[in-house]
Amino acid sequence: MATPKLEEVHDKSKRYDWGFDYAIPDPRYKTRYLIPPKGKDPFRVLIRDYMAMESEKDARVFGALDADVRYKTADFSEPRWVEGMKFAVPAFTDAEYQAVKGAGFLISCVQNQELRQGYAGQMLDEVRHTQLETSLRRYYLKNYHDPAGFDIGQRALGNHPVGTMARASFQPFNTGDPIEVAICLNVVLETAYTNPLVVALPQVAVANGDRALATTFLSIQSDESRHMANGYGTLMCCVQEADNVPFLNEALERHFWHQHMSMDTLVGVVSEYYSVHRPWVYQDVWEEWVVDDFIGSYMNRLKEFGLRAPSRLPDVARFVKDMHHSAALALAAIWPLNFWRIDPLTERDYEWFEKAYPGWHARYGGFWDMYRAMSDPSSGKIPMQTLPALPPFCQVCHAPCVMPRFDAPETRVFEHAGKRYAVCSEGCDWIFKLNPTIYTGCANWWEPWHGMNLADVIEALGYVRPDGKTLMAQPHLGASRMWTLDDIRRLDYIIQDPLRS
Amino acid sequence: MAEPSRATRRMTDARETVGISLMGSEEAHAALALVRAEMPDAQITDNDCFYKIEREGLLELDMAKLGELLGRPITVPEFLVNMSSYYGRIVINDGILQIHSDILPARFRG
Amino acid sequence: MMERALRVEPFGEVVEVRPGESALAALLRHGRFVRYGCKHGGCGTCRARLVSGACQLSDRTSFSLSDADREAGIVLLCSTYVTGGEVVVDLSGVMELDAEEFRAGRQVAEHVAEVVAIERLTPDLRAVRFRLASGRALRFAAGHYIELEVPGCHDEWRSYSLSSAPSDPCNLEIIVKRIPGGRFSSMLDGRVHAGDRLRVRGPLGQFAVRMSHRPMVMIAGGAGLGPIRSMLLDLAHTGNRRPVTLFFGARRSRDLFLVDELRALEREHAWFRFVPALSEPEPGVPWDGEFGLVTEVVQRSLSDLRGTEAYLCGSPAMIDAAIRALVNAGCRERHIFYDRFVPSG
Repeated sequence: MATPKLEEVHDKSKRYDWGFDYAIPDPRYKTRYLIPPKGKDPFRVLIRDYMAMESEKDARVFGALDADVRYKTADFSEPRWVEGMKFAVPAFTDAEYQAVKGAGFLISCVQNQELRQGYAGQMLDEVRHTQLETSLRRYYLKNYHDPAGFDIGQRALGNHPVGTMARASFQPFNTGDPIEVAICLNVVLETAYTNPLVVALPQVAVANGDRALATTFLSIQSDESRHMANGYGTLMCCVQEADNVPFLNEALERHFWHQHMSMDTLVGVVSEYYSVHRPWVYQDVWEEWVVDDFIGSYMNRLKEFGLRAPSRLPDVARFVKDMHHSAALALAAIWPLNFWRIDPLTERDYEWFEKAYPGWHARYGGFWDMYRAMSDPSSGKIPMQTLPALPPFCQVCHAPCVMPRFDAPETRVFEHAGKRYAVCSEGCDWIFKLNPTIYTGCANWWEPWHGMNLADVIEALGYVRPDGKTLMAQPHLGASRMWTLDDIRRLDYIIQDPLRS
Repeated sequence: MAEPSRATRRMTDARETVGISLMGSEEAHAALALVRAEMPDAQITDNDCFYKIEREGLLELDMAKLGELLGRPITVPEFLVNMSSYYGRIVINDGILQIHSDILPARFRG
Repeated sequence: MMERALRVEPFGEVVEVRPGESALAALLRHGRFVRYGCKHGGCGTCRARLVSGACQLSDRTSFSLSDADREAGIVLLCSTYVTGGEVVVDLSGVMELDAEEFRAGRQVAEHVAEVVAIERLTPDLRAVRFRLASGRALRFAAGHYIELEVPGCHDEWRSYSLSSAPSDPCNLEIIVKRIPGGRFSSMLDGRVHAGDRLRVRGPLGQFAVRMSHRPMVMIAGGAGLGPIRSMLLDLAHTGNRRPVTLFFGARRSRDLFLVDELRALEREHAWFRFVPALSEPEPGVPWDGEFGLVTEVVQRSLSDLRGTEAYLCGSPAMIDAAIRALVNAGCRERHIFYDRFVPSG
């Protein structure tokens, strides 16, 4: 018997649905959008194909990781890079897990059978991704020579400012208006931003001797294509109602800015500052995937329905040039508070940066010289002591308020309901004002540590190695001359929350 | 997919590019061979661990032909194991994968 | 009661068919969409199943339809002619097409247009202003063109870009270059008048401003300024902030047109810079703009075009030269968009 045609089976499967013609259910989650009952899943996902396909994908990923273990690939991966994975991979795991909940959220909200099927597939995918990334971290933990930072799991990221940034970025995946969930997750993050992250970043990994990340991420991204199609299907469904269009434009504006603040920073930092070999300049990757593919191809075709490119696109382009330099510098400036090591930049790195970003050395060279000079504990100094004040974190995106440049930040500080807040940019200011309640519940990262000795903060964060005294964080990659809590305590450095005064 | 018109001899060249990213693998290499043979105007970029294939208007991969180049039968879901990303409008059918530049005109207004 | 009608299932839609018009042509004329390719029975794309009704099938489908097809009642819409009454065809299972695609069509339809005015812009350029006879709007995007049937020549069509603003879709304009022996252009000095009716089809084409943040360089020669002007008006109307520099090349000052309008646009919008250039200025005629071929002027004025998009419209020679100049200055080929004007005769 010949296998029934995909189209026919898919069409038939769509008929297993409820018509709700005798009772209208209350919406499970409120939405301000009018959602027509139509929608399309171009992948025509059916379990018979899905399971076989995903099983083969996993077999290949774990087969490749198995080979990496056998051939000790981790020994040949640049330590500078793997240290970056200590915070980068958990940040992405946060995204995957929040997306599991997000897909579940959408299954409950979307009455359209085809789209619901697509989201069901997505939920399974996001569980897969969470597991794959956790497996990758386990691979690093077991095979990389310095596992401190991988060994306390997601708790490491959870306590760190990068963790707040990740949670804030990915929270819109499962809160608020369900259509906006689709806009944030499927359209903005998965169509625009996962491409540079999950497709282009593997190139950097491979250039730095880390095949495991490349294998894992390229496989993760193969599921992403169906998520992009889910987003597209939901968007096309919504543009049919003209009343939805202003809401869609506002949602795109908000999520494009916010995701840019977290993703462009994260990928820019990791690909250029946590690498020894750099196959590309981040800005070029951004131009290709975000401007040409997402804006110029995908969004461009939606113009006729009234959808517009985010008005802040020129500001995004402006920020992309500088943001990641500022963020990398900020992370190095607060190095004792991290759970990974930061290798000082060398002359060779300086040359690359100057070529890719003329003027880089004049602006940033001094800081990195200082960082290198303070990397041995005998220096008795840390960069934090040289800052006139600690930068506040943006109440919306939780990036440090040194954006786009630490010497020319576009920070705004204001009072809201009797409390002082900072935002990093006009874009985040606008987002805050759209709905402050979303953002005011989260404490600014410095708040709980105000007035505490830095050594006590590090202990409270749990960023200490198994010997109970050596910091997980180190301003160099050496096996000896590592900083301890005593070295920090000797500095008598007291945290001052910059927003409290 | 230009509007056919007998009298029109103007050439309206515009970018309606579609693309597909394939992670390096045997199947990807067979796909590259198929693209080079059937769509020589397509652009292929080697990004070390993945390939990006881009073309104006339409990218089409016929699994029967790909299977011939690969040396074993292959279905679309099996092939999709290798697709990391794409841009354009994707259409999946039995034995064939297409990426179109036309957006689905799904408008019902008024 | 229609003399000839075509009903398309599973959509349940009925369209009127003219004598001698194929089913496909009728559907396209009514702004509906079905899949088609060659339009003459050779490719087999426009398959449908004939359900009922009186029609004639052109015998040119003899190679593209098998015996089994014919027995199953399969026809090609491009080669099916309704002889009388209602013919019913069904696309289900034969042509992959859903209701949305069918109804939305390609937004390309045929219209009757009425000429409002013909203006002499330069010795060889004419502006033809027209409206749709129905009074309806022709919605288009800046950069689109229309096809126009040469009056008195059945099924001879010429293509012209729209030079009017998309925000005013009832008042349309094209710019036509007089070509020696040009079927349509040669009629503009006396044989086409205000009030005349013409058949037009459109909007068509994919030359359009792309969404991005990048500054733009526009280069136009002669009638190529038409669609560029449409783009500029649209950018002004939609609150553009991206910097735009327009280089407009002509031979002598009498070949210039729209200069005052573009200078006014420049004064009104900080993002716009207008650079007209003459390649063969007449001695003694005052000229305060640039001298030289437009591509030479571009090369002189702009040294670093990295991160810039370019939109070009004019003769193939101008476009080829412009592309070389732009790429040399750092503009990426994938960010260069153009519409070459090739005379049809």
